[in-house]
Amino acid sequence: MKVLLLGHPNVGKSVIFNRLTGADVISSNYPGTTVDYKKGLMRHKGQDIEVIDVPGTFSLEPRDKAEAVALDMLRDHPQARIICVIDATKLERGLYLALDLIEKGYAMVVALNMWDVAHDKNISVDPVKLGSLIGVPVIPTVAVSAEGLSTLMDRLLAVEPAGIAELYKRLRLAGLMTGTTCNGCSGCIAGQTCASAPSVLSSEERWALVEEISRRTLTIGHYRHTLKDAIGDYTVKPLTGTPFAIAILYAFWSIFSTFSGLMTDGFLGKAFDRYWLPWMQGWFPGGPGTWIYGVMVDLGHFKDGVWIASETCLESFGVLTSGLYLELGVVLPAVFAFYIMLALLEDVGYLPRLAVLMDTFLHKIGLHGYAIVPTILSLGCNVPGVEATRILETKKQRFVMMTILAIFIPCGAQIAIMQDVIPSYTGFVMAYLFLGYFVFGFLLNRIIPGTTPDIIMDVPVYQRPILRDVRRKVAMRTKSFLKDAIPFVTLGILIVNILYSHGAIDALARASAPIFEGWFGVPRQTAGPLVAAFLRKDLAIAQLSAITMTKYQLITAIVLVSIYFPCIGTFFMMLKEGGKAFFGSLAVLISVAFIWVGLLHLVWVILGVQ
Amino acid sequence: MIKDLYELDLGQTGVITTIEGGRRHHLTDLGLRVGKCVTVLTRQPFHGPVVIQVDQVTLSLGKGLAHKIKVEVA
Amino acid sequence: MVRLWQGYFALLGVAVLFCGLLEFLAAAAGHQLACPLVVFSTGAFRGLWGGLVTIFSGIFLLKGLGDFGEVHQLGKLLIGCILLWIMAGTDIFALIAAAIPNAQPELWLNSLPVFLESLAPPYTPAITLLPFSLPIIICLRIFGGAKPPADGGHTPEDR
Repeated sequence: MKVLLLGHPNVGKSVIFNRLTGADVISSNYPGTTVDYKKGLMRHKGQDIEVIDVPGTFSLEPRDKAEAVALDMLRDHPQARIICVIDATKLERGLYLALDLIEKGYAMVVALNMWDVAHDKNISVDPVKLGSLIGVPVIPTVAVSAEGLSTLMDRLLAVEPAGIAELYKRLRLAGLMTGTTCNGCSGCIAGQTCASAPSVLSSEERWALVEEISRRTLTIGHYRHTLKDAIGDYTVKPLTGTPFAIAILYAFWSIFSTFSGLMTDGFLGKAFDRYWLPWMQGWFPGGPGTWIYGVMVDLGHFKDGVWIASETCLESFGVLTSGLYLELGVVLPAVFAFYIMLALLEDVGYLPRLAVLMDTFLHKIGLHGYAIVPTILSLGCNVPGVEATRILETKKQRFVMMTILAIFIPCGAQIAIMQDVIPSYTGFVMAYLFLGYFVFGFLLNRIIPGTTPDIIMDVPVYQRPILRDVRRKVAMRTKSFLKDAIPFVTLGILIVNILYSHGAIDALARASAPIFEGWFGVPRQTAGPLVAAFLRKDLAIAQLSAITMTKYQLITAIVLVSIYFPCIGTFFMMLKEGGKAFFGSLAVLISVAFIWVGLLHLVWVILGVQ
Repeated sequence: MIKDLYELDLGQTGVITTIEGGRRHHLTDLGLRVGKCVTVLTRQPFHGPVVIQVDQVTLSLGKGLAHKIKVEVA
Repeated sequence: MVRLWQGYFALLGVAVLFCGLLEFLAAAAGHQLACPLVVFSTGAFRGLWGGLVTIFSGIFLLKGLGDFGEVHQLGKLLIGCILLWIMAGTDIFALIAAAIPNAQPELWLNSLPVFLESLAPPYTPAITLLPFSLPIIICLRIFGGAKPPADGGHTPEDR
């Protein structure tokens, strides 16, 4: 049996999903889209049930790609049973969605979630009365403590599709609805009005019903503002919310760099340089100087015609040494720390408040506050960042967002490597990139036709994060990161090493020397890392650090690597999400790289340091 | 007195009389409809969005949208 | 009773604000400040950004003193303390993280005495002030939710 979990965003749908399903959860893309959904298995009363967590949707008339997928999934599973999750404190708007689903004839139950929050707020709903009015079981639940979920599943197994006729009959019996005159159907009473009304309700009629139903089932008692409400308000007000946001970002960065510093410099660097590298150098077949050894373990370098073995994994450039060290030793701890903090911020419910605070600025560059979500995601990895642009409504917004994300937002892997090789200039590079994000966002907004709709956003109440769910989310994201990163890094080093050994990169460097040395002001050898950057930016930056140049040239080169082209993963995601617009994006990208990096070169020239 | 939602003072409450513009349905789905009591919680500077409260729902609306919502203030 | 609490948090607020300003200015001027009790970081990130957060913390503490115990005022005090806890938390994490690995290339962990020694004072201002912010928990117990706001209903705008 299939069960779809459906409901508004932020009603605790995912929490219910996590409570219901076991460890085997698959997160996958909906066919033909990049909108992901989760699927899991559970057993209840001897029945095997497949539970699908549908993306949150406010109505059955989609407004963005994610909502469209929710609707498609509903259409694709007409036989599935539905758990419609409603926030008990926001009964009316939940009820509207539930009525729409009942009218469409699904077998469903309503989970009246956040029952505890409603209780605290002195809001009470009569679930029995509500259930009898709308003709489907209504079960109060508290997802965080799994309260009511067993009853919910019991009722779900027993439920039959009610359908529009049954709904109208019940509503009419309760005196809530007057129908059209009957044309001789079976479900009517005394031939006066028709129960199986021919068409669905209009939006106005449905709202009128919702209001009438909630009048009979909902009582709102006196409610005092609590400390949680006060904090919720202060963190969204500009005067008090901005300092708070600054503190949160401080904590984010501080914990990120402390943790990755501890793991990389404290332990993993030592482990790789002192144990892994010598061990590999010792046994790998072929030995120093041979082709396979150079590619896989240690390229080494020549000094006065003598081959010298590398002392650190960062220098060696072997697939099995540098490659593994970069991904497992440097990037993994950084990405792990990033995902933990991101999951915490998400689950607490802070991100929407940050979005409100940022809307003012992001609106000026043609986006709106919610663009903060793809931006922050991109700081972890650009691929999910580009994927998340689907939450923006218009083509123009998605184009602008995708373009400036891919160009200007360095990914977590890249930041981690920068912290490792140029710790004192990371801040400057990041600042220069963020400046570009706003400058070119502003310009693109002016140039590209199309509108920027105003923000409409739901601001949820703060919630205590559930550690088990945070752990699960972090594990899933880290796993998918590793699955993407390791093959690409391996391939990247392999290709670059092979190109090097055949002189292709030297030829490329010679050919493009005027551009590199004249326009960007960096050594021509930068060409090599740029090839690698297409596979992994972190790898490219590690390779840059091995080239002899001044610190200003190094900064320019790193900025160049960051913005000149998206990595291959981002490239394909942009192609998938953007379609034709992607090529426009690419054109912008290449011209921006020339302008923004050239400008940095100009700054150095004016300052007289180059 | 009829006012724009954007023009309400912070903390002031009004009853929605009309919602203009093409995104009315979207607002309705979120719980913002004619006849509802709405309170302005805060307004962001530099023409930023407003944050409002309707029943238990907290919403953030851009300035342009907030201008299109008229409320009756007692 | 209320007076006592008010006085206590006023003192804490002034202390936090003072430390934050000192930290921020020292980092901006690039001076190394140290005394037996407190050590100020000179890093641009910790000094400037962190100093700013400490300053905000002090301002929140001082702004939450009027009409003491009312839930919105209490909210300000709590945010002030949360900001201080963020600073102290990240400082303690950094302190512990620095104390664990051995600086010698051939050794992994520090021995216990060395580990404990590197945890010894002087601390950053945020860590030093941390214990003094903990009474807010008692304060929340006493005032949190016990006293209804003046109008009993929705958010009064109070700046």
